Parts: sequence; C-alpha cells; structure tokens
Amino acid sequence: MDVTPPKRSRPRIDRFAVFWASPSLVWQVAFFVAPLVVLVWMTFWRVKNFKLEQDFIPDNWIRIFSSGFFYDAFLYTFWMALVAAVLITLIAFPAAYALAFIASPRTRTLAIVALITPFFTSYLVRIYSWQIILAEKGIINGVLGLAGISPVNIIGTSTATMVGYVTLALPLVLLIQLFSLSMVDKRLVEAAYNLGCGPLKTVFKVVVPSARVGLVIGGTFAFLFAFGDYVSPLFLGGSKPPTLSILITDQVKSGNNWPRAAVVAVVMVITLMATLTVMSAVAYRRRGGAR
Amino acid sequence: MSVPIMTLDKVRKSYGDSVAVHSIDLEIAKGEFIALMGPSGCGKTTTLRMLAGLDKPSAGEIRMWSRVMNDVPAWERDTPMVWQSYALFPFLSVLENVEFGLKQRRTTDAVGRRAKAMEWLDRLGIAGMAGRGIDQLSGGQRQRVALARALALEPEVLLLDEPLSALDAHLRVRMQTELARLHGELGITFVYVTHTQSEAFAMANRIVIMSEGRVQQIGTPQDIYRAPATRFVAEFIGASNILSGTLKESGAGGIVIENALGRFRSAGATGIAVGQDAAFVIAADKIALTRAADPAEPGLDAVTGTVAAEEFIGAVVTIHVDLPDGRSMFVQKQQNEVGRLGLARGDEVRLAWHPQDTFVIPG
Amino acid sequence: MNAATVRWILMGYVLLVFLFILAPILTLVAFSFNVDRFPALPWGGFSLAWYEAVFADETVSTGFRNTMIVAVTTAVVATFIGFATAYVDYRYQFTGKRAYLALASLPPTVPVVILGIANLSFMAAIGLSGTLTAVILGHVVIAAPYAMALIRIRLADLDPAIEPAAWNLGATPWATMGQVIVPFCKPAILSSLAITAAVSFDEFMIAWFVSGIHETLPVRILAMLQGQVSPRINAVGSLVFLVTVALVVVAQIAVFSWRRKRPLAGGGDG
Repeated sequence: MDVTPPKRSRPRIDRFAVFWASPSLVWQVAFFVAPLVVLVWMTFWRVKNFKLEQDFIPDNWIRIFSSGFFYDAFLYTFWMALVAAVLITLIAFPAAYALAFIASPRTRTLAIVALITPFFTSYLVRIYSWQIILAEKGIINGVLGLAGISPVNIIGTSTATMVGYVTLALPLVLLIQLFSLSMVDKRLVEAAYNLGCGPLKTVFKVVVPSARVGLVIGGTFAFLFAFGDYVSPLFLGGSKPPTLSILITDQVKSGNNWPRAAVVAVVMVITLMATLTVMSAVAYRRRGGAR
Repeated sequence: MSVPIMTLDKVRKSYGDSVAVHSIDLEIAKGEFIALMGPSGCGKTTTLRMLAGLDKPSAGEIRMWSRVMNDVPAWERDTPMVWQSYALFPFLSVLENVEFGLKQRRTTDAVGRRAKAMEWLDRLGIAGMAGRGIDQLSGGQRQRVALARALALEPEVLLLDEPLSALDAHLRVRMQTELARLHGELGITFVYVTHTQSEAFAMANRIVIMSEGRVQQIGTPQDIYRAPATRFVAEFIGASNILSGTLKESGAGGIVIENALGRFRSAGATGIAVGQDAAFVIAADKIALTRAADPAEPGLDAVTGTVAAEEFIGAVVTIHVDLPDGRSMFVQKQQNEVGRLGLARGDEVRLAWHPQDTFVIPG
Repeated sequence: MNAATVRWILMGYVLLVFLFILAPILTLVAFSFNVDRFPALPWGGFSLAWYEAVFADETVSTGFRNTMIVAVTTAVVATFIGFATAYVDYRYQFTGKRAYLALASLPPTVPVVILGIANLSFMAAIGLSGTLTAVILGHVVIAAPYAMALIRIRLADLDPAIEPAAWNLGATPWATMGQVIVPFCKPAILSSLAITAAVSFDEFMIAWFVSGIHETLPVRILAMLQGQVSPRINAVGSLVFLVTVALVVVAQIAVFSWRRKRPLAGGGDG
C-alpha cells in the first residue's frame, strides 16, 4: 500500500494574482480607511492657541454633545434627509413606472442617458442655477410678477434646500427604481389585471411589493445624499438652520477647530452606518418567504 | 507495448470535499482517437482539463511520453484544445485567431505565421473567411476556425471538449466525417470528450465510459456494445436488454441465472458468487423474434411476451415486448424481416437468443 | 378615466420630471449669454462678455489647468485600479472576497464632506497637505469604484473559456492579459476613463479641503459662489458643464456600442 501522501503542489504565491488584487486593497486602505481612522483619532486631539496637538482627551466629544446647536443641527439634518428620502421616492415612482411599463424602448434608453448624465455633472453649478431661478428677483418671481402675483420667498428656506436635495438625488433614485421595475415580471401585472384587480390596486398589491428592494435602496441613497450634502443647505437654504456638513466646514474653515469637526463627521458616519443597516434589513426582510 | 503518448496514473481530482475524478488509470497510444464518454458531471471534462494543464490533479501523475506533466503550466504544453463554446477571440479576425498560438510560440516571423495560418484555413475549407470577424460566422464556420486555430500548432495531441454539441443535427454528422478524415490524414492523437454515444461510436478507436468520476469500462466500440462491463454501461449505451435474477450455477459449464421468467444460461466467467444477484445483458439485435405459436429453435434460451409497441427509425424497427412478470424487453430488426411476421399490438411472441451472445454483469 | 388617459397623464408627468432635472442647466446656459449683471427676467440681451471675462480671469485658467492635471491622472490611476479589481472579481474566488469588494466599492457612499475632513488631517499628517497630489489621491478613492463597476459589467460578457483558451494556445497569464483581456475590455476602459475623469472634474469638496492654494476649477467656482453674484459663474459653469457632459456622453456611447454588439448566442450553419 502506498503510504506517501498525495503529491501536492506547494502553495506557491501566485504573483500574477497578487499583482492584480493588491492595487485596490492598498489604495483603499491607505487613502480611504487610513484617513477615516485618523479622523476618529483626531476627535481626541486638542487645539491650543489655534494649534493642533496630538492628545487623548474626551473634551471635544463632551463639548459637542453638551451644545444645544449640535442637537438642533443633527435633528434638522436627519429630519430633512428623511423627508427627502420619502419625497424623492414618491416623486420618482410614477415616472419610473411610466418609463418601465408604458414608454417605448427608445424613449426608455433616451431617459436612461438623460438620467445618468446629470448624476455625474456639475451639481454645484446646477444648485447655483436654482439660486437664480428661486431668488427674490429670480425667474419664478419674475414670471409671477408678469402674471400680477406678489412674489414668493423661497430662497433661504427649507423648501429651497429640499429642491436642491431633489436635484441631487432624483436622477439616481429614478434609475434604481426603473431598474428594479424592469425586473418585475410583466405577466404578473397582466395576471393581476385579469383577476379583476384595478390599475391602482395592481400597482399597490403587485408592482410595489415586487420592486420593494429597489424602492428601499433608492430611498436609502436619497437619504444618504441629503444627509451628507453641503451645497444645497448652504446656497439654497442659506444655512438657516445649519446642517451637520455646514457645522463641519464652519469648524474647519472659520473656527479652525478640526477635532470638533471630526467629532461631527464621526457622528455622521455612525448615523449613516446605522441607517444602512436598518434599511438593508427592511429591504431584504421576509425574502424567500411565502411570495 | 511502446511508451504511451499520454499516461494517467491513479489521477484524482477533488474540490474541497467533492471528488470530480476518483483514481483514473489510462494509457493513450500515439495516433489513437479516444473518446471519453459519460453523462454530465461524470468527470470527463475535468479529465480533459487535467490533460491540458488547466486543472491540476489532486493526486496521481499525468505523463506525456515519459515526462511528468503535473506541474507544467497550461501555456508551456503542446496540447491545444477545441472548446465546446469554441472560445474564439471575438475582437480578432479569423486569421488572427488562427495566428494566435503561433504568435505565442515565436518560432516564425509574421510572414511565416500568416502563411501557416492560411494553409490551415485552406485545409479546413474556410480560407475565404480569413478577414472576417468572428461574429460574421455561422456555427459551423466557427467550429472550423476553432479546429484550424488548434491544429495550426501542429500538436501531437488534440483535445476536443464536446466540439459538436452546439451544432445542429445534420451539420454534426458532416463534422463527424470531417474530424474522422482529419484524424486519419494527420495521424495525431485525438482525445474527444462527449456525452453523445453516436459521436463516440462513429469516430473513436477506443472509448472510455465514465460515471461519477470513475472509469466504468475502456474498450473498442464493439467491446462496449457487445459486452458492457457494468449495469451503468449497459444502461448508458441503451442498446441492450438487462434481465436480472440470482446466480444459480457458475462453473465450467457456464453460468445460470434464474428469475421469475425461468433459467437462463450465459457463457463466460464472472467473479460473482453463487446465490448473489446478477444480471445478464443481451443486445437488441441479437434476439430472434417469432410468433409464440411457432416451434421453438433448440439450443436457444427464450421468453414469451406480448407486443406492446413498434417504433420505426429508418429501415430499423424497434419492437417493445411486455413480459409476463411485468418487465419489458426490446428487439431491433430490419423492417423487411418483421414485415413477414405481420405483428400487431397484443400478439404473443417468443424472444430467443444464443447463450453465447449474453454477458453477465453484477446485479 | 380610461387606460389611454392614464398613459398620457403619466407620460406628461415624466416630461415634468425631466423638465425639473433640466431646468437648472437650461437656465444656466441661457443666463451665461445675458448681458445684464444680475440674472433676472426680463432677459436683457445677448452678450459674450461674461465668457470673455472668464477667459481673461487668471484664477479660472489656473484652476482649469489644475483640474485637468488632477482629472487626467485620476482617470488613469482609477481606471487601472478599477480594472484590476474587476478582473480579480471575475477571475478568483477567495475567502474574504465580499469584504474585499465592499472596501473597493464603498467610498462613493460616504459623503464627500466627511472624506474632505478625513483627508485634511491625513494629508497634513503625511505632509501632502495643499498639493494637487493630495487631491488626486482622494479623487482616485471615489472614482475607482465606478471604473470597477463599468469594467466588471463588460467582463460578465466574456466567455469564461476564452482566458483558458489563450493559455492553452501558449499565452502566459501576462500575455493573455495584454492580448486578450485588455483588448476585450477596451470599450469599458474608454468609458471608465471618461467617467472617472468626469467624477474628478466635478469634485469640489475633497479638493476644497486639501488643495490649499492649488485651487481646482470647481473649488474656484465654490469660492465665486460664496462671493458676489456674478454672471461669470454662469459662463464658467456652462464651460464646466460642457466638459463633464462631453465626458459622460463619450462614456455612454462606448457602453452602448458594446451592449448593442453582443454576439448572438449559438448559431446554425450559413
């Protein structure tokens, strides 16, 4: 009987594999993870005579958490992001539904191009443009004036901020919804009609449940974008009241207090991680059950 | 025997806990057309991939001539392969596809390469397609490009992985003839993986039948057809009747198997002990068919039954017969032979055969 | 209300949504040609004055040059990293792959303001604060995931037998990479170069935090926005918009060119 162990090749390091696998790992650890670690670390530093000193003190955390303006900013930011998520999901859904089930393939392709393009282009400039449109003497009030209606004050309000959030997130949310709706089996929709479901009932009993994952993911992205956005609350909302991202930039650019800004940033990261956890639980809940 | 061109010595392949190929021993002679056949998942493709160096044996040794190949990477071997999906490079022209392997060799310059590639395209009758893109070719043309690409390297061994499975029926038959012709002309070794019996039987000198990672039988097409070694082989090739029972006698006088239908004799020896389950196999075209009322021919074993159905494929008729104990058998005859009997469904018939034409397999 | 009416209402709604998406862009371009100093109705008259002002503005041209340096470098590096990651995902199975891919695709979900402040202290710590290199390092982090996604989609169309077929014909893995995988991915690589350049060209938060005196164009615009309202912003904004739209459109044309040309499955004789 042959008792020598089976001839196995030595576990050689595959240089080819290592070469292709390492760039992403090295880069993201060095320039994504490491900065975030430094960020957390920095929350324990001290600022003395406008100079940053390495230390390990809880003062920044205490200072931020004992100030009322932080809670106000946190609640406002969270609330606005939540409203944005719901609002954008509702605005996008009828359009996504129409593009998925009614529009011709050509229109759909065109729409996809028209949605991908703004996702990557000049958010900053587009927000400035909304400023022109919504300003006191802006286009909307100009048109209203021509019609003899007294001007409305939009700029500098939460409504204007919300317009910015919609501008930011609507294209992506629409794309995600469109994608998940095109996965819905059209025969299912027809079957529901044939079984005597009215159109509205079909949408709510068949289409919405089938596209739930897409709706939740879309809403989550809207929340994510709105929660972290700096431009809309500043230029459209007039930073009244300030959001967390405005708090961060103010601490850095004017207050020169990096550690306190870092505390706010870490709180934001934790909030987003918690939101993502909750939302993915919602999205994939009862999957594979009786459906 | 001279040194085989390729040897598999107790080769085994496992992925974690699942074993794709148990211990396989096989010697492939120079110039052979050998087919590895079996249902999907039997390990035939894994075996082929190990021959090509695309999978590494977990144990055992693969040799080419006398060189151990286990640690030789695929790109340092000389065993080109024709793939089931053809795996042609979609962004290269037909000519560039055929030149690809030659380019890696660096044995000839660009001019020589081009000449050689054109020569093979010409040989496969697709020289006119040289400048085309792959997406402008039909399935049959792609198949020829894939062959030219592999053969342009002028290897000693050509590996083929179900090369005809994507073609339609009549093209498949045409390519079978073409492959057999190429094999004859080139005199190189073909190792051919297929799950289609007709391909293997039409082209191969030798067939390896595999199931669940094990070799079931190795033999010429005739051997396998006439004397399947195991129940699996008999069932897989499907050309035979299998009647099981209990082994009653085993000795110089032959073997006797008994079941509810009677006692049946068989020639040859077997390792099965008296009293154990056994079965015997009788090929469908070795059975004599007569009406039950006709006198029985002496010296034959026979059963009687009723005609259940007739199937016509070309000039051959397959007659299915229900036996009294609920089993059924089938007989294959030329149409004119059966026509004389004038059988109808429900008619009583006798099936008779020579004991020498049967083979005993474990029950 | 019958089905046809519902269809018309819904398609009208789609039109409204797209009008909302396009409104700021149209306004921007229109007012960049308006002679009036303050962007308001009624329209004052056509003028190229603001473009002239922009082209004469040295901070803008310097910003543009910086942006180009950052965007081109980011595009090349991010596309290389994205390609490598997509290939690893296509080719290998290994423990920890989920975590590996999560790390490679997560950065765009983190708000740029957080990445900005994180990079601020980090770049200061490694002595790169206030350099364009710092901007590039940060931009590659957020751009590489887009490159990975695009190239991974392309690789999904690659017959898994193609790569072993090349090895089988004598090509080493390196030669196969150069002669088979890269040529196959070419449209996706082009597309990825354009998209990652657009991501970088448009990014202002990380750049604002770490670029110091080396302002990129979006940072310059941000500074202009914080100052007085000026139609020059419309002009420079229109120019930036033109560049990014061109990049994104190029990227999409590349993608559509390969999605349309998908090889037919199977095939009979002809």
